[in-house]
Amino acid sequence: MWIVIGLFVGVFIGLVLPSDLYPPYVFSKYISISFLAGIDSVLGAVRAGMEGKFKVNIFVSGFFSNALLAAFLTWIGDKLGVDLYLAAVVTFGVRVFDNLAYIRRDIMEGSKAGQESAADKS
Amino acid sequence: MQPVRGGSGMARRENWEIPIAFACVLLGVMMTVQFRTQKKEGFPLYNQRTDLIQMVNELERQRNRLETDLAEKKKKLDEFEQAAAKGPDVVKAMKDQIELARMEAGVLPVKGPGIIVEMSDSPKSPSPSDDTYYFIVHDVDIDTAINELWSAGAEAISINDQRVVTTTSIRCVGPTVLINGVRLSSPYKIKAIGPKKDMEGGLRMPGGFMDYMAPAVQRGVTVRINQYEEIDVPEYKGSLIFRYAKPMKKE
Repeated sequence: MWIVIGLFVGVFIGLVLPSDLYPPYVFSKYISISFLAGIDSVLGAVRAGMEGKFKVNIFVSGFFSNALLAAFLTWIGDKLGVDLYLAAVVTFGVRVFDNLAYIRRDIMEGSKAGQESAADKS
Repeated sequence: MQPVRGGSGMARRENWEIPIAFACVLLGVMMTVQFRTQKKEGFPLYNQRTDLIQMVNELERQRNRLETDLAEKKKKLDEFEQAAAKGPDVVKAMKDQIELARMEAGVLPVKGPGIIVEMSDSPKSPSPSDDTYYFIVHDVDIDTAINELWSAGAEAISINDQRVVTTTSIRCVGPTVLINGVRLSSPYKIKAIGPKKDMEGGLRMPGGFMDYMAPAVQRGVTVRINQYEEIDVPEYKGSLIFRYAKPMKKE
């Protein structure tokens, strides 16, 4: 619930932000990659949370280090003339799907477990 | 046991959702900003370039259409003049004068003896240490050749069927050369009507055009000069309209 609200708040802030506060266009690529890394971190955290393994410090450090590393890889790749950002895209892309699959499973099984425990309770 | 466990579950739930929610705020901002920058600027290089290419193509089509239009009008005008020439002598003399002026202006196709200079880009690809400049034919190369031809007595010159007239400009645009606003690419065929020997001699003069082209020729650019008994030089297809210049009246 909070996650969805957070997302909406973010979108809202982005919308009301005056466009001259936007980062210059050259950073666009880095932001995209960081965004992907961020999605991966968030999905990973959601999964961890559902499995009861969530730790704030791990999430926060992972969120920022992944985003920064992805942006850094992109930047290095630009300098070297190698599309290193593909590494980040592939890695994070795969992990996003992995995490999504786990979350889905967690939700399915969790809801079933919830129903069972509810049944137990009653 | 059971309610305690549920309580701790609730606490943990809040515990993990709030930080993620904050991260999501950040993600949301990033996403929106990205969307809006992309929308605002697009891919400046690619989008704009395709737009510009489209624009150029459209304008070139338009120009070609106008050119055929103009050719028709010119033909009609010619017919009128032919009809007028059958009238009194004054009109006939005037027509002759107009014809001469037209030839001087380059709006008539002409033929006569002359030379054809063919220049084409080097088929070799430059190695990294090479200066790419010498591997292609440039606007200045064509310019130099034409200058030399005029000074050797050429009377009419065309480059790839673009007649060189008083307002002709020759300049490089990317890999092509723009002449009379028309994009031309290698090979360039310069036709010049005039004294064959003098023109070829002028081009081959020591320290002249051929010497100037030597570094490029060494790298594979070809320059061929051939003399012909009769060559055709087409007319200038654009219009020569003076919007600013007006003839000065002699007192």
